[in-house]
Amino acid sequence: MILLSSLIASQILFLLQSLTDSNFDAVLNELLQFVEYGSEGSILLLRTCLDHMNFDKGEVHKMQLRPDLLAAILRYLLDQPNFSTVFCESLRGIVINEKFLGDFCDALHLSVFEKIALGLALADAENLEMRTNGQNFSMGLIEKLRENPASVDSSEQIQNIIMFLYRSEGLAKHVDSFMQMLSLMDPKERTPLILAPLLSDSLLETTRFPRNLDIFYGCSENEFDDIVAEMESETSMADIMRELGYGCTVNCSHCIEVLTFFSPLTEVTLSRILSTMARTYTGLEENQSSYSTFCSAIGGTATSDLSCLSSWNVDVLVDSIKQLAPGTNWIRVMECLDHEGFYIPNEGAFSF
Amino acid sequence: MDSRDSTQSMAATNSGGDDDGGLLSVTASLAKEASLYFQSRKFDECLDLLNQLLEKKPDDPKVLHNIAIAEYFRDGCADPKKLLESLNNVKRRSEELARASGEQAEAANNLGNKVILGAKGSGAGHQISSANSGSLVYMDEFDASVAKLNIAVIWFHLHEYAKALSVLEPLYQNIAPIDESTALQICLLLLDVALACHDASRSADVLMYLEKAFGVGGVSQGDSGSMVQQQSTNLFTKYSSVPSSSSVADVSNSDLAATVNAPENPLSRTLSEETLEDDTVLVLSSFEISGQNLARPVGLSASNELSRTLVDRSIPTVDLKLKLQLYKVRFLLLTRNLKQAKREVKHAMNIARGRDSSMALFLKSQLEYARGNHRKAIKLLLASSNRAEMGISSMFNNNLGCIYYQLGKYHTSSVFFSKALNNSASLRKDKPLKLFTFSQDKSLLITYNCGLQYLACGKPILAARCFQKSSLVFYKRPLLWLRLAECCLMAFEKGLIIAGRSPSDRSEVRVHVIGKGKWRHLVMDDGILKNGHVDSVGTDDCFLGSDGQPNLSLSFARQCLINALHLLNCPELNYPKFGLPSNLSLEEDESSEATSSKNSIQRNLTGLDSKISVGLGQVTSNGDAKEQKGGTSLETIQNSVSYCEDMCERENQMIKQALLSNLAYVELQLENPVKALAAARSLLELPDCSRIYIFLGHVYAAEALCLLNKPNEAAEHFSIYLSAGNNVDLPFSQEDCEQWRVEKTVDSEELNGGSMAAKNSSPEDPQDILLPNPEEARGTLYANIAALFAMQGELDRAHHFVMQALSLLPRSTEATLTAIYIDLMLGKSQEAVAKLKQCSHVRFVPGGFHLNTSC
Repeated sequence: MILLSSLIASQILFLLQSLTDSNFDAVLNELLQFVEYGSEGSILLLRTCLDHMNFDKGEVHKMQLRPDLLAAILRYLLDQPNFSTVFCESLRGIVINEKFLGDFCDALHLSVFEKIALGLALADAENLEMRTNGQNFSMGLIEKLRENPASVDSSEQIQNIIMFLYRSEGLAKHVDSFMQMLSLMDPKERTPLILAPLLSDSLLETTRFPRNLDIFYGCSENEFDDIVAEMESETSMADIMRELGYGCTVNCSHCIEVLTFFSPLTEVTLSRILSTMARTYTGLEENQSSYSTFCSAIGGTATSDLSCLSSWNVDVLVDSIKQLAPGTNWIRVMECLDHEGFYIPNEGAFSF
Repeated sequence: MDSRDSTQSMAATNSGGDDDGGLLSVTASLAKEASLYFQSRKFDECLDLLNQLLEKKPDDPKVLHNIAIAEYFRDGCADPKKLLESLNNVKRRSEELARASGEQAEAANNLGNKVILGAKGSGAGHQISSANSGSLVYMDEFDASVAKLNIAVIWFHLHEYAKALSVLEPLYQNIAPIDESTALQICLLLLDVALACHDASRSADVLMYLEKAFGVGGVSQGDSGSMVQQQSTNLFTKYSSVPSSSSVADVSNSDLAATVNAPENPLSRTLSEETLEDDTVLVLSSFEISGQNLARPVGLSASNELSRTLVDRSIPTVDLKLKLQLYKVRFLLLTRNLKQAKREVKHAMNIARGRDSSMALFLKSQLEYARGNHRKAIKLLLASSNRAEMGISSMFNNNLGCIYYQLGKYHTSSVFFSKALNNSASLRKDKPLKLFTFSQDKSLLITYNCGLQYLACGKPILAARCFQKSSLVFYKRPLLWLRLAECCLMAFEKGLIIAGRSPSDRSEVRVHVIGKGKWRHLVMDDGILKNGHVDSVGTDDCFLGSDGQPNLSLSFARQCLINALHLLNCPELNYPKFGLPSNLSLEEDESSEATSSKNSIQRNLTGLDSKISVGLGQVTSNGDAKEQKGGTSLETIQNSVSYCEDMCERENQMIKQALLSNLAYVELQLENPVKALAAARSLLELPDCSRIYIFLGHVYAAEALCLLNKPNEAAEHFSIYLSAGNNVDLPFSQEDCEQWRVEKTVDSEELNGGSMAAKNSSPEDPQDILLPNPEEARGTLYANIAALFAMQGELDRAHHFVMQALSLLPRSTEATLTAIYIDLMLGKSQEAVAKLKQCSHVRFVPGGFHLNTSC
């Protein structure tokens, strides 16, 4: 592992050194490949880059590395979910002060929100000094943000900032002003759902989060239809029969009744039912009442007596299917038996 | 709104306090006619008359109010926005008037006093002044109060409980001067709102007030009392404490017949309007319970009739009594004081004897549901309902769905949920949409239930869709966000979505099935395809609709979890005290997965899915035992409230544990150990953390530390489980699981059948929700410790532990891989190969794989 990592590091270094104007894109691409190796690759990449530009010397001006390359890499990493780990780990052992951080960001021409993200990532660091630095840095930026609002596109960023504000003591008062700023931005778009709980009610109203009054006027077009349709298509006859128990096949009329509740009996459905029955040929613990209560609940005829059944009555099932769907292609049914979860526990079940 | 016929028999004359006698009689008769028309639903005629009235008395807020309402009804109750606007105007107008007349009255008062001082007829002077002040009160309180009440009613119907509450609360605080029947309406509506918000303490407050003011025994007195009062005030015009009478004072008693009506008319009108709203309110709110609670609806018809009769001026004592009783039951159910609820519901059944008792039956069914007697609940439900009415049948089906869900029959419950949705869809198809219909429509709540059911059936993507839909209502509930995160986690578990960026280090081989019939082939997936693009199998499936809704992903899960934590930590935001309906009693199925695997270090992936049913359980029975002693009903109510608050607190703690452990897991999966560590640490810092979650916290923290290259600190986390050298204690016991799961201990007599069923589904069912098994957890620990030692180079000890792990978890891929690694390091390549052969960990990636040329 150590071997490998030093290998990668030298490869990165090699790539960085070979950088010229003409091969910028190619090098960048190749460097970003390392990110695919997970956080270790990312950390190595960033760390090598930073080393390469003499980051730890604390002098921005002498950076040998082209800032646009580093900025591109940083931006890419910022979009990764594990940026805070990558950034903190890359900086392990290095303590940077606020001022340098600012200069660094400026040199890379990062946007305000990218800077904030950087600061917030540092705020997660283990090193206390780094943490305070990161906090102060982001705080300063956020305060500045109030004066000249910029737009954020990622709801995740907004969430992070709001969380940061809530979490840090004494910052909660900024929440309101930040919210104000948010409300000024792109009023065209709907507030993303994920932010809904964070925003105040009044803000939500102005940002077109749908309210009940709107729903009242808007719900004529029926948005639940698709859910209902989906539910119906997702209904698994076989599973229901398993849940209801052997009572389903107590006699022909009942079996038909149960089967007709659920739209057309396709071959796939049938094969599922068969395999479910095979799987639960015996041993389905069932109190008989559940089937009859189901019947009465769904509005069918309630059965009076249900002697203790201990297995499916296949003949009943087959007869009912014959009546309901006489055109069933049994070969197709058998083919459909080949599906995930098909399992026959024992011989008795198979012979059935 | 069939309740229209329920308008009062009271004549509605529309005279204000400032009328003189002659005009009064004209306007009075106009108003009377108008009210008759209103009652017989001839709104056009009614409006004609009211407009005539308006000409006579321009800008009179009461007339305007009545016009607004009549217009609203004429238009089929389809435009609440307009009604709201006009009611707000009326409110403003009458407040202005009140202010103006207040100033006037003051001036007059001063003047009068002077005059009185000057002259000697102090009696007359007194009368005037009191009358004046009376009219002030009247204008200020009574008039606006009716408009406000109606505004609140509209908000209530729109499910905007926070808004309704903000209107009602000031009214309630200052309820004394408001006339009795309006006050009753206010209280009832407030109670409905409070119950809908699951606000126990507030509902307790109102309930106690109601008991005091109108309660059992007090009802008849209150009722007839008000009559008496009114009469008396007519006779003794000085009696200014009763606001309605005060206007009479102005008219100076000349025309007794007219004046009797005068004070009452605006009231009666609004009352009638109000009650007709209010009975829908009742119905509604009873639905409410059921909707959120996964419980059953309370009888529509019962409340219909109830309130209809209530409307008749002389509130039949029994009906009010029944109503209050039912409210009480609902309250007790809310606070889960089940013993007491049982007693009260019995009482309610007694009262309801000979009447329509379906509402009581519904509540009783809900009670049995809450107690875990699901079969009994079904029976009661079947007995109670009249399924003809759409709204009712929707709730009926929903409740059945809930019961089946509780019985562990998830697929069956889906049948009922979809029926319920169908019912309410057909409700909504009535055009134009009426406010009442809207308020009956609980589709969003049912959708949430559907989501839960999908989650239980292992269909995370569908579940997420449902949750997203219902987020319109529930977006302030931490549970919703937890559920959404669980959807992501489940989708992740099933391979429907991929982790952060790098599936290449998965310890499994992903295999796709391509083609059909004999052309079928297996395609191995090497994770990274050409040009650095990470394989994105299944992401297409995860698109949740077009309009910018987020896809399921682990990042999304993280956001959800953060939201939920935020809501839990900021109670002022969260318990939307009055914001949104809550559904605490929803059962939860936590799926909290344990550690993942990582290149060289193998960890065990323990799929810990615990089924939690928050609440109830032993706790409940204990609580009940205490409360039984609490004698008087007031005490009971107060006890219930404090008990309920405790319980909510406990539930929040449980949710928090789940949230933090899930967050730690997600962060680990996103390769963000810094944050994972933070989450795991805060999990471990939680007070009264369940031992299961402590275990998870330690494992997650250790893994995060390993990833941060700090194996020594990681070892500390395991050391607490290491006893006597090389043995590992059970990290938690079966009892802990039981405790967490909080089995619904059915509190005495009847069957345990209900809770049994949930447990015994066949083990091979992949959709089953497994309890974390202490032995498995121990195996996981062994494997993890082995991996840790392997990493530190202590191969012998690692070998010992991994063997232990394999004996406990022979099928664990991670443990096997660790063993292989150790074998290799020890130079036992033969054994390693043998183990590798056993460990053919292949995942068939379901669907969605399109063969492209690069394969």
